[in-house]
Amino acid sequence: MNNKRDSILNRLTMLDFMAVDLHLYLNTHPNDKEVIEKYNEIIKEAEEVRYEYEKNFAPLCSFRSASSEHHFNWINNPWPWSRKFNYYIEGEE
Amino acid sequence: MWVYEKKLEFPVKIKKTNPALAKCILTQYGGPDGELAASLRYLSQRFTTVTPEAKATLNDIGTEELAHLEMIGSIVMQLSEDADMQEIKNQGFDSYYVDHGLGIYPASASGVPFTAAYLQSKGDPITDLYEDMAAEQKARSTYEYLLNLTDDPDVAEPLKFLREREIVHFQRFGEALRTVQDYLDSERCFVIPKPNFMNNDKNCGCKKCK
Amino acid sequence: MYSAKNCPSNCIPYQTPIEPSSLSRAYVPFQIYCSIYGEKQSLLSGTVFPGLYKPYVKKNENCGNCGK
Repeated sequence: MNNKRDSILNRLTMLDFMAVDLHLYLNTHPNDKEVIEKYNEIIKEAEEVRYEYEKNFAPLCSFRSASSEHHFNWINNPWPWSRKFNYYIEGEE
Repeated sequence: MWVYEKKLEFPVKIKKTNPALAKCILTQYGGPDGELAASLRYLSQRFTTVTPEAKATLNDIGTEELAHLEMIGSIVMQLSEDADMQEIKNQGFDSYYVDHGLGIYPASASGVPFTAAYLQSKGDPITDLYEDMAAEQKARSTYEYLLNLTDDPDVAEPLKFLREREIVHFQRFGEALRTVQDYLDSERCFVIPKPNFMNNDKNCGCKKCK
Repeated sequence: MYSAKNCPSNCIPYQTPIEPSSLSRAYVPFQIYCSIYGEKQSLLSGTVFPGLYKPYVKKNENCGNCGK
């Protein structure tokens, strides 16, 4: 992966996706302690990566993330639908 | 209430322009088995479903479908944004172009504009979940037909991802259905008494007989 | 029997058997947790659950719907 921004976003996308899929499982298996534990682990890790991304690059969430001081950087390019925003998936199998 | 997250669920980065393919994939944006119909269907049905499991499932899958809508819009835009007039004419994109230019408009591959007639919200939790399971299968089929038309791995990877999500969602709706069936079978439910006309005696209980 | 093929140590990723309680009803077996994929494989597969991963095999180019 050629830059730090892409590699952090890549990692966050993976962790957030695992959270999405485990979340759907837990909706219909609300008493599965083993999976709740995994879900919580992933949420915790994703939170750290999200913090890292927002600190170094850009706010992620509308009306949840703080802005940079002098310019409201929420509006900054690139937006997620553009080629430039995206990256090729990498990481260990 | 929703919070927008400024990233895609799965990255979309397409190098090669292909307006013909863009027009086909648009059907998953605003077509009969597309992501917009899916999202509206589940987010509408959630108001009148019964078990906590089914409410959460409809709410969260309806939300995930919005992320899929965004991915499809991104794919269509990236496939068409750099098309020149020659490509637009030669690849059958001209009929779309005269109505929408290079804008992303919710319509099917054959140009039919999106309509809420693609979905139902029946007020019956069992009926709704059967529809949802069928909808996931129809979307899966559509993704398979689209994959048959695609050679570009930049396009195929996100399409494969979206297809697999249909399979997972089917499973979750199936499980939600089980909770609804159990709930409606349970003793908490009202038992509808046998109507009087089914009794054998001649006095049927109506005002006239009395 | 569908499979445990994607799961480690022959774990069967669904409840078995299902006991129907009525006619005229569809039943999907509840999933049972066996294992999950790692980070990259989850995203690339479109699910964290090996038991739910059912990839598509593309149809032959000369054949619209014959399955060859």
